[in-house]
Amino acid sequence: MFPPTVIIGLHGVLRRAPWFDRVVEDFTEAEAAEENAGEHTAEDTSPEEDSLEEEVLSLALDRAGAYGWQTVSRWLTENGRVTARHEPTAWAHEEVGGDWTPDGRVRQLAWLQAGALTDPPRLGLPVRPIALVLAETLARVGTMTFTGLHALLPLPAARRNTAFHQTELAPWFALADPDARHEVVLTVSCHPGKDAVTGDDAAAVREAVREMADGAVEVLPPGARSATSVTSPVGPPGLDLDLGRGVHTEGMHEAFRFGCTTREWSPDLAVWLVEMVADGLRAAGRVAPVVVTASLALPPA
Amino acid sequence: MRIRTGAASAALAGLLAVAATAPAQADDREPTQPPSSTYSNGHGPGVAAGGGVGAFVTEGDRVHFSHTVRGAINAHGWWKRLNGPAKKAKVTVWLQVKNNGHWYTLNKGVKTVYSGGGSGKRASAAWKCTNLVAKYSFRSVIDVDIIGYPDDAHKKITDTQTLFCGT
Repeated sequence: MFPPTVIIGLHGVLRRAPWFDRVVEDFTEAEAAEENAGEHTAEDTSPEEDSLEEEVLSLALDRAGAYGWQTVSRWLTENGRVTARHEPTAWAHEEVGGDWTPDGRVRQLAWLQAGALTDPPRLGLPVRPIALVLAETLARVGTMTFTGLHALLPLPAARRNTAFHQTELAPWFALADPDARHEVVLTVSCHPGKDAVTGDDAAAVREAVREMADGAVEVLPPGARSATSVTSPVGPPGLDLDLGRGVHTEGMHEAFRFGCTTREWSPDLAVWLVEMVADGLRAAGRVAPVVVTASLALPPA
Repeated sequence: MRIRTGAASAALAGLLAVAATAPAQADDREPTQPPSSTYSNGHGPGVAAGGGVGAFVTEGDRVHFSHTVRGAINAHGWWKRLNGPAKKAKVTVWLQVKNNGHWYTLNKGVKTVYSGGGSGKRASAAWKCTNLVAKYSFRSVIDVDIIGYPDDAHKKITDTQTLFCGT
């Protein structure tokens, strides 16, 4: 029903910078003063409520543009004439938001929904660029204790990436403290149906990840006694995610999960794990829209 | 320095914009044409768009399904000042559907906003799909009317999206 849609969400606990409220207050007070002065006209009809999170996280679009990732339709007007037009080249931005409720609980701090560009289909999906600009935007606001990442991946919309293979990042992530150890849970969810991912695919995906990681990640054997085997009715640990609540993910169910240990824990590493799982699914012939998550098995100390 | 145009010119600009669009949600509605010229200076229409406003960009997302509202599609438009004296603009976004070879407006959003983006600085138009089975083509048209300065006369139309959303 939906066109190919990518959603990336970062989860954790955000501690806003001490100056943040002051900066936001200055901004909102200036706007309120102008509203009182009648600056807003009666014909304004846009119904949306302003959201602080959405307001700030929309800066991720600017950040993407700075990297050269065009994500919106854009017309440049100079001296009364349109002199340039640009269309999305990386992904087609749709919506962005987050939850910064300051209660110390794990929240979905930032998410971004985008259309996957399919004319022509691209090599892979823009998981890493979106996660990067979201993480960078959160870093402008304060300090994030990152606990997990989820990704809605319309795998049929992208071609197998023959230009870059995830195993090429193994030396990058091997360059880390060999004594550090983080236990991570990986899950795959999808809609039921003929081409659905099932638990039968778990072994092939787990083996594919183990091989791609080339020692930089230790994939735990099935049945290993670890925190990753802990199940919860509300979903994987480290995530504030309810697939049934999401417009695009309603009806999806967890097909399988497995655990691994890593030498570092960051959005960068989580993206790598998610991308390896996606490639493992593709290699196993499971090219369906899926949600892949990577999250800490236990809350950070 | 802020340029204030007063409610009268803004209302006039609004009437002009409304006159350029057909009522939504009627089967016998007339095809909708985007506005061909924008200039809200408090002295009425007819002034050629020209220099003085400096440089700005008009931005918009393609028509898409809402992240939070089930069975609804959205379109947004906003602007950013690059240089020059402009401070605020009236942004209008029309959400349109194609039927029998013509484009019709389903809904329209108007907001007078500062330069920027995000929920507080953009105009939005939404449509609640009557079903999620029928396939239609959608697009949005964005007009940025810089308050107090002539801007441009260009129709900003986003790429057509094919969505399963009944109208």
